[in-house]
Amino acid sequence: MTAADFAARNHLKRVGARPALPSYLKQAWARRDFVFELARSRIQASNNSNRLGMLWVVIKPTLNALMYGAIFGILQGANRPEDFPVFVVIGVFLFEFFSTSMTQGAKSITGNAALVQSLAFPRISLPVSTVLQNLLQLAPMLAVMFVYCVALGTPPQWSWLLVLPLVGLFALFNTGVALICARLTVHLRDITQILPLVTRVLFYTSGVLFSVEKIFNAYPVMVTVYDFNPLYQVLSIARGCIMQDHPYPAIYWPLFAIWSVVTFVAGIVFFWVAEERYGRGN
Amino acid sequence: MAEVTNFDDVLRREPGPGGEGPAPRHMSGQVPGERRDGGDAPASPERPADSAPAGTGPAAGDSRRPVVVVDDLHVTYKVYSSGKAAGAAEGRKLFTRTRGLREVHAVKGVSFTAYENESIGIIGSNGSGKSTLMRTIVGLTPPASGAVYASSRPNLLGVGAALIPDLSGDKNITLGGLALGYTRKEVEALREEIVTFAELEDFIDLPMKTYSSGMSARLKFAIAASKQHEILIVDEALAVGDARFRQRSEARIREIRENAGTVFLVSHSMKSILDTCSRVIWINKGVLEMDGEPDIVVKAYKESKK
Repeated sequence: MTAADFAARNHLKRVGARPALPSYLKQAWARRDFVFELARSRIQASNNSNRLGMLWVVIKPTLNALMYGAIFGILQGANRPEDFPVFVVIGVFLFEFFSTSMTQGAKSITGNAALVQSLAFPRISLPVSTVLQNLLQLAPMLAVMFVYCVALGTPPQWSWLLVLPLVGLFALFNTGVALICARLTVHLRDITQILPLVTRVLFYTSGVLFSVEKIFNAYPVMVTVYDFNPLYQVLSIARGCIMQDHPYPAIYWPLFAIWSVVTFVAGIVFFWVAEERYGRGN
Repeated sequence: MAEVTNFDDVLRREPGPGGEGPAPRHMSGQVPGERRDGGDAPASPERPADSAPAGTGPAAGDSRRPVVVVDDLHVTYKVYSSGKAAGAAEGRKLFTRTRGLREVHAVKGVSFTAYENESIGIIGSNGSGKSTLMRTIVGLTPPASGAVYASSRPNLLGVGAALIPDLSGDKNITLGGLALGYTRKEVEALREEIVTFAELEDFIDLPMKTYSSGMSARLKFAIAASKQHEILIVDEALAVGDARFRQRSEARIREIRENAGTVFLVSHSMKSILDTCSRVIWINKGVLEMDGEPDIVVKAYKESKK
């Protein structure tokens, strides 16, 4: 009789075996309070150490928007999209949600090695908690963003409410990206070094600061390519909903919904496959 | 795995855990009632265990319920070492392709079976693989080969890593409790008890980073020990706090154990091993050196240290 038979006869299960996906998700759902509390506690802890506390959540993107707005406003000259300040504010604020989710999500397993090695829970809790943390921080950012929009001369309209479902899809998308990056970083730590560059490249190429139609006027192919860039889709939809004359193709909604769901599901599966791997020391 | 332990080598092993667990030792005043670990003594562990897997030791007719089976467990780490290792400094090795990448074989083929209500002490010198073995038993470190089977997921006593020093002790109780898998309601129900046990009534609103090391160790222990685990692993946790808290934590561990749990205690304190354990496993350089009666194993271990 082998040990495995002996164990089976006594109803013992192998420890650390990766559960099937449905029960894995069920276990993760059972930990939702922990995920939420961890996200909230991290925000509190990071605020406690700064004098201005929570205010930094809005000050940082505001300063970013000011800086990028000034520099790219001058550089682009006549190619500037209309209503440029609002354009930049929306772009910078929403992109921040993506970039922090990706970079922090990537470190969510490797950066919590002690936690991973001392307590047993579905590891998916950690990247999800990171994205949730960023989502919670996005709420005050969005409020301030709308204040800026009004201050810069954009009247409130009902279509502003559409930003909520958009953020919901965006959160799904970011969770998927965070999960994929979290696992990749576990296999190859060096990825954390390259990610800031990746976010920067995406920042400059996703139409955060410029209007794709104007810049790529001479290259219609590029405009078509941008139709499939999920980040550009988010920003276009958000601008279309918030600003007055920035129409966007209605097809962006289903396209981005597909992007979000596919990324989210792919992220979960990709992350779950390596569940047994996460505790290992290297 | 080149260096698989041959179990025949481990002849010194005592076959089973001490059936007639030593009568209540000098700590007995702390815990009401007798220790019950000897209740299943009649099942003679001496029976030739030909049908049982090597090293796991149980006889087929053993009436005790096994809760953890460790089967030929190997754990290796790949680590990037910088420079040359003190031990492996043969010049030529430096130029091989694997330079800098060292494989540490921390646990080399350990097998044993733990039964319900046992309290097993794990001893061994520093770096002998005790903690790695325990982390593998709870499933936090994946084994290179072999496997651990358990009736329910073993838990490592500790929540330290989940806590955030910038937050108050109170908030950390919530966080630590949820990390252990409690619901919010359960955390609220236990909060009072945790604070009282940690003796932090006056300081629970202060950030944890302002606590002394003893205070935070007490809080961590109190949160972690609030949970009734079926299989619990305590890694040197008894060594926290002052003498009084130590006694109380030992009593608490005994209580956990009496409530139908199985406890593994990793410690360098032979006194706490002898006080709390009904069986001792000695790990030496990743190999199970001896397994059996606390008195005998501890004595042999001390002999080897001389």
